[in-house]
Amino acid sequence: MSIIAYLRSENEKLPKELFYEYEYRIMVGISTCSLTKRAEEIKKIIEKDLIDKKMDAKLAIVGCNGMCYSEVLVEVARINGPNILYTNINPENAHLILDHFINYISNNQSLFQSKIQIKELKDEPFYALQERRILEYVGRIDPYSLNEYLMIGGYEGLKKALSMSPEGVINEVLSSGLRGRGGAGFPTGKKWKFAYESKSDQKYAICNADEGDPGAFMNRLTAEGSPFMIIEGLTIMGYAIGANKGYIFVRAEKPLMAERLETAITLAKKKGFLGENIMNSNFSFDIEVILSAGAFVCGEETAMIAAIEGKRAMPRPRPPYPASKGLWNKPTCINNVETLAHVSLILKNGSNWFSQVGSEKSKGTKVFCLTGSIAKSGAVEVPLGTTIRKLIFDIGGGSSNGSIIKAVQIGGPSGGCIPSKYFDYELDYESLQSLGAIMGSGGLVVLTESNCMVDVAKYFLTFTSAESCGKCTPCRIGLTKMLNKLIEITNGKGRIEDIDYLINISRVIIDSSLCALGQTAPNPILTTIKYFKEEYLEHIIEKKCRAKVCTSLLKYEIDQEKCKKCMVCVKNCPNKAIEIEEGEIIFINQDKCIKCGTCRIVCPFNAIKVS
Amino acid sequence: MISLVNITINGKKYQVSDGITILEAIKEVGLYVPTLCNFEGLSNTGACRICIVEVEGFRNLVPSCATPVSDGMVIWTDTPRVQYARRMVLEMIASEHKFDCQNCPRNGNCELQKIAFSLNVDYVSLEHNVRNKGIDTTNKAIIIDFDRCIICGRCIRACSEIQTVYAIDYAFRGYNTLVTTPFNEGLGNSNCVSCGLCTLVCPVAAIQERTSFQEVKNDMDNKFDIVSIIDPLTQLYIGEEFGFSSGKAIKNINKFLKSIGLKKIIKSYDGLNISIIGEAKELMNILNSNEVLISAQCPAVLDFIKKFFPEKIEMLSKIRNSHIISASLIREGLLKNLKNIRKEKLRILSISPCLALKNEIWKPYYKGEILNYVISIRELASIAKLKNYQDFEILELKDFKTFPSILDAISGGRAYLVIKTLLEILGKEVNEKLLETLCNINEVKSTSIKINGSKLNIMVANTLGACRKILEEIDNFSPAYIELRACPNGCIGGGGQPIPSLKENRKIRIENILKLYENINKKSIWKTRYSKILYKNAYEKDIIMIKGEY
Amino acid sequence: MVGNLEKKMLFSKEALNNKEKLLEIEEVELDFQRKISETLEKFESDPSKIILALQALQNVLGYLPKEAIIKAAEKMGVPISHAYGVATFYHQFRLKPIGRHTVYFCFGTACHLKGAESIYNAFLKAANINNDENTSKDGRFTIHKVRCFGACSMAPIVKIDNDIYGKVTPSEIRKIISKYK
Repeated sequence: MSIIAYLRSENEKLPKELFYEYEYRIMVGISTCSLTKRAEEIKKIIEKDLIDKKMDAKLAIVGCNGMCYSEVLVEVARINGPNILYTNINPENAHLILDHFINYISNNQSLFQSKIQIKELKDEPFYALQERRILEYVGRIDPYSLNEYLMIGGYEGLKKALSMSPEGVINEVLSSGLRGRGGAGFPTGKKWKFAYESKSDQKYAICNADEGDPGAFMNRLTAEGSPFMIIEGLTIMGYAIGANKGYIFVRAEKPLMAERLETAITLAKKKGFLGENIMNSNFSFDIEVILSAGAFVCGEETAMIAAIEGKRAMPRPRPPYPASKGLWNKPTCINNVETLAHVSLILKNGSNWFSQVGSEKSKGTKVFCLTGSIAKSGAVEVPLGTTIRKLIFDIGGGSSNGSIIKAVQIGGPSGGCIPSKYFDYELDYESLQSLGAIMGSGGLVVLTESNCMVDVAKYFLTFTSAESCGKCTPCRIGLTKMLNKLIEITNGKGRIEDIDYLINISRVIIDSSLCALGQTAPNPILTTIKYFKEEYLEHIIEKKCRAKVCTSLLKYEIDQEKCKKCMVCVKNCPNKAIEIEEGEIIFINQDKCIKCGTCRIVCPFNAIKVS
Repeated sequence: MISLVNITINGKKYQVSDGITILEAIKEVGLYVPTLCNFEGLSNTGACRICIVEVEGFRNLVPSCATPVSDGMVIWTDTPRVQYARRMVLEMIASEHKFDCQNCPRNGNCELQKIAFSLNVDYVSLEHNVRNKGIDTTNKAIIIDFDRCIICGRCIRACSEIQTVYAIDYAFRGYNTLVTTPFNEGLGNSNCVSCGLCTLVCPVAAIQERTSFQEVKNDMDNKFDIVSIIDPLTQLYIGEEFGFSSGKAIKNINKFLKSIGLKKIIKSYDGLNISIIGEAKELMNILNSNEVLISAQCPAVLDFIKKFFPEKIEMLSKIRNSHIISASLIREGLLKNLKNIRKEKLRILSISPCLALKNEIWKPYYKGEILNYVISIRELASIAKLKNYQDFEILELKDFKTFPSILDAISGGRAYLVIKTLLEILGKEVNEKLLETLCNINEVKSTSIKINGSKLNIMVANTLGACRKILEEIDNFSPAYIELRACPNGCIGGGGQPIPSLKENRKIRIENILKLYENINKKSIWKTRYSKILYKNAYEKDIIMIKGEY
Repeated sequence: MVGNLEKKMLFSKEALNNKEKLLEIEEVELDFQRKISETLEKFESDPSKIILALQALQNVLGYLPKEAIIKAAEKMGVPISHAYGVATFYHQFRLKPIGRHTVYFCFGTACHLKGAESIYNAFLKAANINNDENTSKDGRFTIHKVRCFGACSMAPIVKIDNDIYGKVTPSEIRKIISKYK
């Protein structure tokens, strides 16, 4: 893919301080996603280039701004403009950036010969249709720098909070209408109030950075891009509820996120934004980062509490709720990363500002992750109430491979599949619930005709049954029974009664599981049965998978008419299942075929047919 | 002042104490909800989901055992939604349980069977699967059958919360969860002290005692002479398994024992009496000193001290377990009523509510062969049931003749008898109030007496958690006599007792024993000439004390 | 509550001695002993930090041999049964020795939809790994299924040691494997 350069508009100019009195500021996006595309190498190339060109420039590492489909991203800014965001950078083309920028500002002729397209960022719907509040500076500031965070107005929120009473802070959050962004959508102010009202000598404030949903990375992105925002939010929460100790619970699979948060905490402490007498007030607060040892169920509050206590992450019955009896049996309040990011901004800009956007019962913005068969995959921030259609087609660019989009899966393994006929529904808590889905953490997976809905259900159930902690009967046993049934169906051994079997067990698992993992795990199955029953019936009755995904139902054969005997498939078959008979005819040994599809991919003559 | 709350259950209004669980409230008003993982004295985990009920305002069904009541709560225990869910939860448990009821020791006395019956679950719609995780047979007293386990966690809670032994815990997760020992190395290689509380709390037969009667039968068939030492209260305990209500015992247990081939039977009084006299004499030696004497009669406590408090071993009494002493008496020919025993072909069996004894008999400090097998009360009852023995008759307590050493069965009873004996040796009498102080149903009992002007502390504890607390502070108590038992309320709550062995069952057992003691409390161990002579003979044959170190 | 009991009371010294005799020599090299003591020295005895202690030990040793779990339980003041329960609960902990190279397969939603299962199967066959094991017979690779690296636009993803491969196809597997000894 070739480089696209996006010109930022005037109102996106960076504050002067960020230039540290240099003329230029170069920002290289380094985060977990861009590191897979050799972002470190790119940074080194640009560093060298700056020296060679003797440019008066500040080189900064920044986070990812969410345009993951076009990583690696490098932004070049000059102190009075322009700001150009270069996308699709790799180590081979990185050397073109600075030349291009210099040519641009000097309006050089050779600009027109450049292979680099210039567009205006406001014409790129992926970016322009967003309402970037949390993400405003993500991808433009250095996550390791407290100073840069202060330069963009960081810690204003905490300053204001400390000048108010704890009740005042809680009321501000209450009136903003902020609802927990972790999935449940519980009013944040209400949760804080319960914790505040519980009397105790010791309270705890916890940030849930576990982000276990496969396909969700908005928390990681935010924390890697602007960790101080989250720490500020957690500190504000601590102040409001009366806690002096905070924890950030990060999953071990996201080490960069943990590292950036830890560095931020150390810096904040040094400068008096954490520790004793924060910002010269009476409030003292300390934060510790805890690395989870790997369990999706840790996203559940009481399971996370058990993990912090050094035990198996097995949830406890509620009531009593963590707000009255949580960590070490003390009042504890747990909020998601994104929720806390919003808190910082609410205290800074006011609750009215927050609730200006959003729908009636779901105020504010939310970061969604677009993945799956979507043209532009990444993280975007939009007001709640945005329709699914707008998100997928206008912002995400529609299908990635031309196939028709038939559904979108939202809420991860706890969520449901929404068929295309409902794409005009709004993305807010109530609306999604009415469809049988949940918002969850906000991960959207786009599914097209080339995806099998039964397989998707099986995938999520494989995940949740493996993540079940095993404490309560319905989740421990029920999910596995359901999975076995789904495996039978995708292997062609399903029976018509199986659909009712699945629905009946689902009902019980939802009704009687101990925690939200079990209570929501059947959702993907129930929604796919509800909206895509035909696919189930095809698998059961016709033993057919229309998307050609369920491999047991597929047969790979060589079309002898098209086969030119080039032997490419024979060489590439991982299981050596393609054999030669009488020196002439090439065929696939069905017993050895593992249906990986490699032969079909490598055949230059399209001679492999799948049925 | 207990505050009350108003709740509604199944449409009717009730007033109950604030802070109790929904389950407690339900029981209080006389209604019923089945439970499985809930057990008295253990924390409520809400794991099994059998006791779920519907509460207005809650989206999902809640576990009644773990949810506290609140004012205005509206509870429904039996709506179609609840019934359906409860039934399916039971089916789920059943679908993963190795259903071999015909071969199962809990057949007929199994909580899973009971609930299935009460919910009319005669058919399981889910696919049945046995995980084939095998059986742990590394411990001679207790075995774990993993395929019967329903992962209720009661045994774990008993072992950790009450006994503080922590031999078992959950391992792995989700569908693969196992209740097992560290590294799956088996109970015999873990902290387990074989007290058997786990076997008493298990709702099914997942963790249960290892039976020994087959070995006895084999030896009988190979022409060995089997002599049985029987706990004198067996007649009292075993009645529970046959529906005899409180205040009654079984008449003529010897007839039953003979019918299964056990012809030579003696009661364990002799061993008990000698051990009590022995401890009293040991205690005499530490009066006026700063020492502590810990009774070593409970094999589980012995193991517990060796594993967790090895530095306190030196405080242990050197007097052997009473059943071992009885066995030695037999082997040394010191008992008059046992003639015609071929020493080389002699095997000795103990019938006792103690499971730890099954392990204890193999310890190295009993050099040589003394006691060969132990059969618990539960196993004896199951043998009777298997043989369909019909001839049990009721024996009224007033007609049940016993001897004072039966008090040993109650936690604190031994302490009472040892102090009484000590005082009698010194020519004094015991204050009868001591019986009440020491033999009540509390977990820890303590008092002190003055002997010849010097103070002696008496500390009694049952359940290992309470014993642990005493052992931790023990240096503060000297001089003292310490009686520690692993099982709740002593041997009457032993691992080999009939199931259920709940507080109410134990209370009745204690009451019965105290009643029996009342009938014979004029008797004294020390003042009975036979006991004194037997003691002297046993002492001369050196079979009273352990040889070497613990 | 575990936290309230003194550490020395929570495990059986006698059972420990038995275990020490039972441990296979190949598992407990002297080097391991030293590494275990050094790592645990940095911790204060605090039952709630058992997970951190186990994580630190695994970082140093590559996996958690029996000895490490036992010593960690001792140091932190938790029963061994508790430490074993924790070590077997969390995905992160490996109780068997690992291969020379660690392979992570992303099984996130995007990767699954783009065929993660087939490259996984292809890898199993090519590296000769049984279905229920996770280390190859020649000791080269230990495989893990992971949930989402967050690099969904490059699905399917395979990470071997520190090298990340994107848009992997089953036919490339043999070539990729051959790079690792």
